[in-house]
Amino acid sequence: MSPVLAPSRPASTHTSLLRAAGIVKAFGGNRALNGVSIDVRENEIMALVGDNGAGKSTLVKILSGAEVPDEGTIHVSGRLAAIQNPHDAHDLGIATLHQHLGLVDCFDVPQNVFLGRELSTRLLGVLPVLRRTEMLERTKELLRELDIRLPYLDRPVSTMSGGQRQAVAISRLLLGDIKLIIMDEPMAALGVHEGQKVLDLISRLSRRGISFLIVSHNMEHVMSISNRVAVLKNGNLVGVVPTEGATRQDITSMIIHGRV
Amino acid sequence: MSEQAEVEPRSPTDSLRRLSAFGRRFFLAGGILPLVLVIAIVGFALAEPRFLTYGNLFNVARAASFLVIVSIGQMITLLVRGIDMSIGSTEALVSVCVALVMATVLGFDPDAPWLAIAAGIAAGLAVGAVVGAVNGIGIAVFNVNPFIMTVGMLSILSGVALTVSGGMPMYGMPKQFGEIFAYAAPLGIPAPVLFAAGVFVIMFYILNWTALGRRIYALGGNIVASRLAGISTRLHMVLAYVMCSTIVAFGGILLTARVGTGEATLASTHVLESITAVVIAGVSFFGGIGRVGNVVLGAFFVTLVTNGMNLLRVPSYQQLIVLGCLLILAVVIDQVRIRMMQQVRDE
Repeated sequence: MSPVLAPSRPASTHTSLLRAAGIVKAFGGNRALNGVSIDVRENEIMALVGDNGAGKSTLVKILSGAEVPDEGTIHVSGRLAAIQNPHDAHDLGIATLHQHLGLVDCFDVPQNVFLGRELSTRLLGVLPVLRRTEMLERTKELLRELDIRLPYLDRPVSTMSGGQRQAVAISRLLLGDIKLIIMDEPMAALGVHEGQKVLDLISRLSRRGISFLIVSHNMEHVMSISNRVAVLKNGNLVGVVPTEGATRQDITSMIIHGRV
Repeated sequence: MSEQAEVEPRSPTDSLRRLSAFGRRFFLAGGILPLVLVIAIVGFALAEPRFLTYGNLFNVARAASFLVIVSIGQMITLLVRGIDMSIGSTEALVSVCVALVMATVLGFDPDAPWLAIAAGIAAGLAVGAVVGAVNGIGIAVFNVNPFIMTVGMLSILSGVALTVSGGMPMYGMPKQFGEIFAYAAPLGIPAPVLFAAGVFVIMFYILNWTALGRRIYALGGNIVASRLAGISTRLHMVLAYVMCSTIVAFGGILLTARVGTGEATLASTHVLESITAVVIAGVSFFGGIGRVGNVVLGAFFVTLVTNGMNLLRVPSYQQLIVLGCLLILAVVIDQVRIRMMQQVRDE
């Protein structure tokens, strides 16, 4: 075990990492987001909760670049950011873990980690050739850094358990210089034990200075891992409350009644 | 009892189980191809002694090289979870165009056979690339189902080839074309075999050792994940079909050299045979899985079966029945294999 000096739930600094202000998004006549403002701080785990149709998915899609807002601004590290597509978001240090993980089932671990970012060298200065050994070594290094243990790296990820696949998908995101990870229902398809492992991974990464915005229906997970909880209802932000000091009942009541 | 088990860890059932576990892994990795290849060779050799003569193997190797080339092309479309039903008519159109261009150039200057050959080959490859681009754009940009798109193209290309040729064989190609590209045999190896080996080496390199190859596999494995990973999926899909049709066009050029005329009805059996070869070689219809080396063996196997049936004087009508059965069997086995892979995951 690596020595961990920081407490398990570090007091987040109050510097804003990502600030979205007055986000409006309509699909046809249906306003999915009605001027939502949200502020994810550096080094914090923020949970995003709300009933079905509250606008969580739309907000997540806008922040990850999958949708462009009709109105509103996004600042990343204090600078105005124009996020038009997932690539822009990634360049700004925002990565998104989608519910379906974005893994190629028939690929092994290094192939998935380096998907779309394969390392090549030029043989004799002309022929591009994949640097397989280097990709394998860097994958091992990455997994070691993240303290992720996988039984084998050279088999298709389709042979792995849900939690292991999740770990591969998360480590994939961290190959670049990532400051914020957005997760859409990360534990939805996992068993209790597997889910706990992913929660452990999230808090470990958080201690290394990575912020999280996590959409979840699982109140237990929300209460155990987050620093703050943002509640959406009918496309409006009901409020943001610190997790410590709030009870499950408080938050459930916010989700249902739309009041703090 | 338990002591005895420790002393004798290899009871008959134990080694049987180990053997079946090994067989299962072998099957998952490479399909049934190695097994059926051995069975076919041994079976035909026992039934017909002429089968294993140098002369016959020379013939099989030469005949197989055309199918090897087009099967490698077909493989790429299966890797991206597609299919190309139009490869036979692509070859036919290429054949007609190659003959037309060569005859035209020779008509201007009868003393320039090499210019005619170069122009003909360039035209043939260009036709292939355009056909592939049309297939790819229809599939990737306009979202036409790959089967429908390429069946439509099958009809179109075959119609164009028949229109251009008037349904007649087209003569007038320089004799050097056939001499070099079909009948030369340096070191006793038929030229088509060498060309097929060249296509294999190039495609092995591209598919296994370049980012382009990885992305072609990724596209078939999970197109949504590929897009999220920043891969330009449409471009790569079009590229895959262009690669397929260009390789197929090269096969058509070699076949034209062998036949000696431009034929609008060339290679009509290649669609069925290539799909059989590719699927029996363990390339999955579900995309993302398959090895080019196995495809070479698969094409060899299909040619071997045809050759063996010819030697055994199986009438060609009945050969069609056998080939159809082989194709369906290969697909059934692919399904079983996919299911077994999922079981491995569940365990």
